[in-house]
Amino acid sequence: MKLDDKQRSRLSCIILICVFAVFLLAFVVGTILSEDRDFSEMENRTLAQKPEISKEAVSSGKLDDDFEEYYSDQIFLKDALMAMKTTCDYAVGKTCQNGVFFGSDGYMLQQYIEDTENVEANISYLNDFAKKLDVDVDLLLVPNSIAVNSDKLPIGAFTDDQLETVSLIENSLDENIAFFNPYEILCELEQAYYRTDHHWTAAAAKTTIEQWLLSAGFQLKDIDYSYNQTENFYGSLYSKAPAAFVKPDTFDYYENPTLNVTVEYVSESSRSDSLIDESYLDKKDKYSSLLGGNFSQIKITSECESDEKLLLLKDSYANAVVPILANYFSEIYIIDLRYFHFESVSKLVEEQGIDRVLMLYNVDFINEDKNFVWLE
Amino acid sequence: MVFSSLVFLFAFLPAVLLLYFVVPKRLKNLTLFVVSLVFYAWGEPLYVLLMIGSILIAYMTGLFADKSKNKPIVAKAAVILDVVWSIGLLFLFKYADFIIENINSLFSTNISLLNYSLPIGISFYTFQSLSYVIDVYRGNVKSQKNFITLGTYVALFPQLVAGPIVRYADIEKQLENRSSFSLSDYFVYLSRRKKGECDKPQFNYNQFASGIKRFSVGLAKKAILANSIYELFNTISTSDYSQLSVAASWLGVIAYTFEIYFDFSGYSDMAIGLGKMLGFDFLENFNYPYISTSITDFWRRWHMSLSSWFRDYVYIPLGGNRKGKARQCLNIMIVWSLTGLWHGASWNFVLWGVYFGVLLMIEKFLLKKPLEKLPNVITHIYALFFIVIGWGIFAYEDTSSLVGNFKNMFGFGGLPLWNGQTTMWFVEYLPIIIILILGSTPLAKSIGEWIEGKNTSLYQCVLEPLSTAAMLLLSAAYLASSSYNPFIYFRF
Repeated sequence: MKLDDKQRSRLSCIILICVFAVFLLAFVVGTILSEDRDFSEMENRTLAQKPEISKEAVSSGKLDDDFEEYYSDQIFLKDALMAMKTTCDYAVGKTCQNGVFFGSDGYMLQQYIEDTENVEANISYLNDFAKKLDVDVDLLLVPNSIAVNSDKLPIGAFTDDQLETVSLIENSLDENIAFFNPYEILCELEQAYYRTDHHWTAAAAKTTIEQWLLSAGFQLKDIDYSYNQTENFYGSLYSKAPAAFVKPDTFDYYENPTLNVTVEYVSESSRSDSLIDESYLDKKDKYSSLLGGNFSQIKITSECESDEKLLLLKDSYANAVVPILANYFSEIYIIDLRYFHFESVSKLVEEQGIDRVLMLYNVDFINEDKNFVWLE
Repeated sequence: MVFSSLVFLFAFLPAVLLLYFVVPKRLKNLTLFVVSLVFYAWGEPLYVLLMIGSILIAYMTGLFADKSKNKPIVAKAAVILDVVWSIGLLFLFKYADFIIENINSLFSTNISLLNYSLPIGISFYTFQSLSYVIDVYRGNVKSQKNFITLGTYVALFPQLVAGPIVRYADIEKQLENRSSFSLSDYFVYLSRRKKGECDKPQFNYNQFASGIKRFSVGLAKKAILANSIYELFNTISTSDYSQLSVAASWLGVIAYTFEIYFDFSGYSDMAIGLGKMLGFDFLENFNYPYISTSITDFWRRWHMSLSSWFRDYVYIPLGGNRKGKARQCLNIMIVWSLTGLWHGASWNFVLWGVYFGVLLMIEKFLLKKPLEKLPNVITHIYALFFIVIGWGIFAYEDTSSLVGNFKNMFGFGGLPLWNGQTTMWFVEYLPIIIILILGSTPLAKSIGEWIEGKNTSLYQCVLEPLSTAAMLLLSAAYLASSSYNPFIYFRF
């Protein structure tokens, strides 16, 4: 069929108009028909819901912002659109998005900028705390993926050297605190960190904590751990920079199936008999299956052969080592300073007759967190 | 509401288009007027009354300003009334706090601020209604007796919030009679066609399709390119002193240079595109300003509707160049200080206007001939340098960051020339900057025309729809996930 100029131009217009109409209608109809979500697993946050149309909202013009927020949170294919944007940005060379580098071998690495003041302040809180105690105090400082996998960073990547922070911390640490740096151990592992999550793998956590136990004078027990894996793990770094080409991780953890434990969530006044909350394994946030996430205070009583009591001051990295530690301590008190405020930890150490304090933190956490001020 | 919002794109626009093409032709202006008021009131529910007030005043003073029908003194009074109203509005809502602040700091007084928020688009719609009444007074256009028609002109949502400043004279005919299809008229036609009583309503395919293309280009310029490069400017301008370098300060201002062009011209493209969909042809507002070879050239290509407004309603009435060189210089300085001030109630905008006023005078009286002799490459670099410096003044409203940034750019800030962070910014944004540079030239257009010449069917029926679809979809993706979506020209 041969078209004359007029027909061709008409056809071209009709195609364009169809493209435009389909584009508008697809999103309008899609958004109307698809059910509103309460929570985005991908972004790990609650989404805006339909704003209430009140007189005040209308007259203040707030309705405009509320509706825009609602619409952009609930838009049809939101997750796919976000992945599309990240992919495009990556295609035009933005190897760092939202503070996450796209490294080689599929590794996503969180940018590290040292906040020297904050690090020094946090260490001084730890030092002050340790001086009050007359039990053994250890700091297990875990470098992050960007330090161990620095060879995977893209060209031109700007980031501070975590090892400098590590030695800064080591040098300013009080002599009462024994320092343990697992950097070398982690470098030797095949995969110490998840590619799409900022946490470390089961192997990294287990190897590190066993080496620490040895260094602290414990003898390793011959335990037949079960090794569990869950596929399709898109971690927190993926949420920050969701690109279509990112391949999921396999989430894994170790557990001693024969060990009887009681897990007491103190401020929630709830109990569990497992260190693993398996319900999270089906969700996006699989890492939270370890202890069920982060809580201000957890008390773990285990039937292992030991009469030692451990106090664990920690961030989320520590959640992966608790299933190992539970085999070595009859009682573990776990404190997360992000939520444990207004109470004295040193008093707890005294009252409960704690034998040893382990502070387990990753470098990013010490660099950024502002809650060490609550430690007393 | 702004065009680059999901609510506009996926709620307001489809609803308006549907409504607009269903209602009978005689109700189209009323429809546009009402939806424009809704568009405005959505974000500014109270200030919409100000705009309606402006329309009423313009309508009435317009009727009286017609010299052929009224006594000269009445006509003059009408114009003065409209000018006082429009300038008064701008003064009260845009400049009063600025003046109070300056009085307070000069005389150590303590007059309290009014703290009115700036009504969106006030700088645009006041200028539009002013141009209408003045044009009526001058006899360039007839006064508009239909209130709805005039209201449609002032409130027309495509150009309401960020221009272009459309002159009444330019769309007078289109306001009264433009080709636009109506579904209800079409049904009337079907029922009556045997009697031959009415014409078949025609749908202007070409105009609507070119509106779509233009809108998509504008949306992509804003949502993808301007927002992306704004991220760089924002990162650099808010980053810690220890992260900066001389090169990074330049990179920041260059990022702003691209941001403001793609943001603002993108908005104008969207306005022109939406206008076409609704049957209007607005004049162009930008003509590749960054390929200019002089500052004079730049101002013929940048925000053309504003510079021509100042030319016709300020510079020429002041006497322009007809009263001697000294007076001309004064006139130029008045116009450019006002142009600067129009952009915002802050000294940096005045400085920015004066800066261009001085440059334009220098070019007019000293550099005109030398510039003509120099090769284009050199004059182009010369123009870009001063344009970029201009944006350096424009970008920072507070004096200390403005001065600090210039110190950094010219090596007086004690910064290293280059550092690791600069390398990263440079590597990350280089591809986008290359796209922006190419996008600032007519290259894409030329390539398009070349392909169209080689294979018209392929271009018109495949490539153009595909690229339009890609731009729309990507824009939606960027809008749905972007946290940076400011409209710089919103403040004005």
